[in-house]
Amino acid sequence: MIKSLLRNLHRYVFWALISVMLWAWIFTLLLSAPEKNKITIYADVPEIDGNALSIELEKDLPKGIRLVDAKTFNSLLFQQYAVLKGDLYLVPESDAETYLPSFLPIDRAAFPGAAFYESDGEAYGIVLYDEQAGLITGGRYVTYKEGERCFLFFNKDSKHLGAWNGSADDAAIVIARHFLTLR
Amino acid sequence: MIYFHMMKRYELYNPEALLSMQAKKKRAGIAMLAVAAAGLLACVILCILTTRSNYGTMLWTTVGVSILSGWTVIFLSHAVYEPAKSGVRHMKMVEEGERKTIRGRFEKTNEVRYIRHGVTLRRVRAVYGERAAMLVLYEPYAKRLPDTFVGAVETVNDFIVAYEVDDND
Repeated sequence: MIKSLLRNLHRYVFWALISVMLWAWIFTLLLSAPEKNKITIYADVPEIDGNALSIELEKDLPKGIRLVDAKTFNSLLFQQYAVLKGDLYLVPESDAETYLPSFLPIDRAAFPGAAFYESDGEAYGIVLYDEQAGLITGGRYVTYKEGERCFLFFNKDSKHLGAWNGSADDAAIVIARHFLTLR
Repeated sequence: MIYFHMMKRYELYNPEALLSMQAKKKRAGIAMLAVAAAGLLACVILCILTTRSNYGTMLWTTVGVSILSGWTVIFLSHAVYEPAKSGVRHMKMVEEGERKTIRGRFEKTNEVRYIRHGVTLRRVRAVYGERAAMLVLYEPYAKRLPDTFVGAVETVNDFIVAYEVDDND
C-alpha cells in the first residue's frame, strides 16, 4: 500500500497544485464583472481595506451594477494601464494636479454641503480627509496620508456618470454619495 | 523397487476469477466516477454560495474538497482500478495463450517485480534436467504455489498457470 502510494506520489502532488491554481482562477472570475456592471475605485492612499469597503458599498447597489471593486494604485503592479479604467479615485492633494486632466469637473449641486477641490473656478474633487477640519470619510476602511488632504475624483471616461459625461447610468455618483456617508 | 507416482494438478486461474476481476474493475470505475461527480458538484455548490464576505473561506474549502476528492479518485485508480484492469488483461492473456509444460524442481523466490499498469509478479526458479530458468507467477496468486516442489508446471508466456506436485517428493 505504502509502496503504491509512493509510486504515485507525483499524481497526488500534481493534483493538489492543479486544484489550487484552477480554483483560485475560477474564484477570481466569480468576483469580477464587465466594466458596465461594476464600479472601480482606485485609491492613492497608504492603505485601504478594499474587501470591507466593497462589502459596505455593495449593500445598496444601483440597478445594473453587480459589484464594487476598491483597490490601491500599488495593487496594479504590472497592469498600470488599468488605472485609466477606474470610475472613482481617492487622490491626495500633492498628486491631484498631476492627474487632473483625467478627471471630470463635477456638479456642486449633486453634493450639497461638501467641500471641493477647485481648479480654474471649477470643482473637480470632494474633500474626504482634512485633518485640520476634523473630516475623515470612511476611516474604517481607508488609511489616509497624515497631514495631507485627500479628495474623491471622477474619471472623465467613466461609463457611470450619467448626464455629466453622457453615460447610460449614474452608478458612480450613487456609490460616491454612499461613500461620503461612511465614517 | 517400484515407485508409484501420484500427481495432483492445481489450476491457478479459473473463469470465475476473471469474472470477479471484471466486476471489481467495473465497481472501481463506478466508485471513481461517483466520487469525482460528488466532488465536482460540491465545488460548484460552494462557488454558487460564495460572496465577497465569505470569499476566502469558500475558496479554501473548495480547494480542500477538490484535493480530497481528486486524491480519492487517484487512490482508487492505482490501488483498485488499474490492478483490476491489468488483472483482467493478464487473465485474458493466460486464457488465450498457448500452454507449455515443464517438469522439474521449482522454487518460489522473494523477488517481486512491478510491471507498468499494475501487474506485479514473483519470480520462480525452475531447474529441469541440466537447465535452469526463471519463470514468473502472478503475485496475487503467489500463496497458491508451494514454496518449493518437484513436479510440473504449465506456463503461458512464462507465467505459471497450473502445477502438479509429485507426492513422492
